[in-house]
Amino acid sequence: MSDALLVVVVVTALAFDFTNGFHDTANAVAASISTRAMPPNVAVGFSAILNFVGAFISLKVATTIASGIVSAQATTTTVVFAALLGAIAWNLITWRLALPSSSSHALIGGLVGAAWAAEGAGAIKASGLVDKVIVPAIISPVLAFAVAWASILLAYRVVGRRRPGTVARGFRLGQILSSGLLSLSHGTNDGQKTMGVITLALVAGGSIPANNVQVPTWVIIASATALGLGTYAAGWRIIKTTGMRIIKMDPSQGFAAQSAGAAAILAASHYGFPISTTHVINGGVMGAGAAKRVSAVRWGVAGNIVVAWMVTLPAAAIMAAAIWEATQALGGGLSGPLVLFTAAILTVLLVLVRRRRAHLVPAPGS
Amino acid sequence: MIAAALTAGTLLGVVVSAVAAGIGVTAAFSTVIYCADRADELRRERRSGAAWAMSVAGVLALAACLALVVYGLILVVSKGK
Repeated sequence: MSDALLVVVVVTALAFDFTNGFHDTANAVAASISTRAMPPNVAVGFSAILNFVGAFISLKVATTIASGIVSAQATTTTVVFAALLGAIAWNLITWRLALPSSSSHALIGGLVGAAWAAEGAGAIKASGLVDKVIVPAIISPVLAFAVAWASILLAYRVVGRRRPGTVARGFRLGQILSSGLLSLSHGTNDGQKTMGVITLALVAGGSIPANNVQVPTWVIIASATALGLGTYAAGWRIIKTTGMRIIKMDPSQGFAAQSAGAAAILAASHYGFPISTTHVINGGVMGAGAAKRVSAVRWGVAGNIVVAWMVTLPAAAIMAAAIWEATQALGGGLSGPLVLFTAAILTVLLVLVRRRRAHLVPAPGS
Repeated sequence: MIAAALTAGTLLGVVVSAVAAGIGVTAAFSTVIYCADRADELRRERRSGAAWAMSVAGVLALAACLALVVYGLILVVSKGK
């Protein structure tokens, strides 16, 4: 593999990490911002720092992102590139639609689609997909929903007759802790995915010996920085959906949703059960809302979110498969990924320039 | 995502731990708020003995809550070992 292709894959992986950060900021901060536990910029900065720190804590996940789901032989550099670009595209689409979908599922969907396109259906391990993705995706939001539902009922029972101002201030303070724990665990889990992808590419390129895989320090720093910067950039559209559009949240509901989410994530990590932070937090928010009054949850918004969760894996897979086919049509090797990589950068620049012009040029009649 | 073999035991462990930790931390923190507010009320009623006892109960609940958070942090950190 050429060094140029390795550079393309590394930069694409860091770009995915950045989108992962800004897409998932909502998981940790939406409830805190919605209940005014922290000012928006403080909440996002706090989350960015803890995501950055979290990415340094664990390296165990780094080599396991695709294991058991896609065969090792199928995970070539071009497949990884197509998977990353497909996942980035899906993250950007769901961000545009303000839908909190799982970045992990987008990446796994991308790997599945690109590997299928490259090696056929035999490259996919169906049992791994069911055990590691589909079952956890069904169980984790239901679990968080139930825990948040029971927690908020208990909280209302304990503090229901106390002074509302004191109760709100207390739970807002508690949210700083629960939000911090969520950010840290998110950094620990999601920072590893990019490290894993870059490390796999370095192994494939011969930069790291396959029999002694160690994640290089520069990979850890680069991945943590991309995730931290992405978190700080903040996907405000998704923060608004999770924090304000599903339910109108009070501080006790915010605390219950975040605590339920943190408990589910940590329990799952302890047992090695892979779950998505996005599914858990949004399930918790719905549970905390439904416990107060079922009609307090905007079920139309919740339904759209659940549909996005169901569509994420196949949609990212289809996009990654199409990208893999395009790399082959453009000549395979370095040329295909390089052309698509350049096209992706130009598209992002074009969108940024158009947005800037839209801000500068006043609308007709205004 | 570190994945273990999916068994009924794993699922049960995740569910029981999440329910216990999630409800436990909310119960403990709600108790802290209750005790703080009630202790303040008792002090204003000049019942200092009862206010002191309520404050101690609040501190114990806070300790329980922090212990759960620290345990969570240890779980996060020990994943990498």
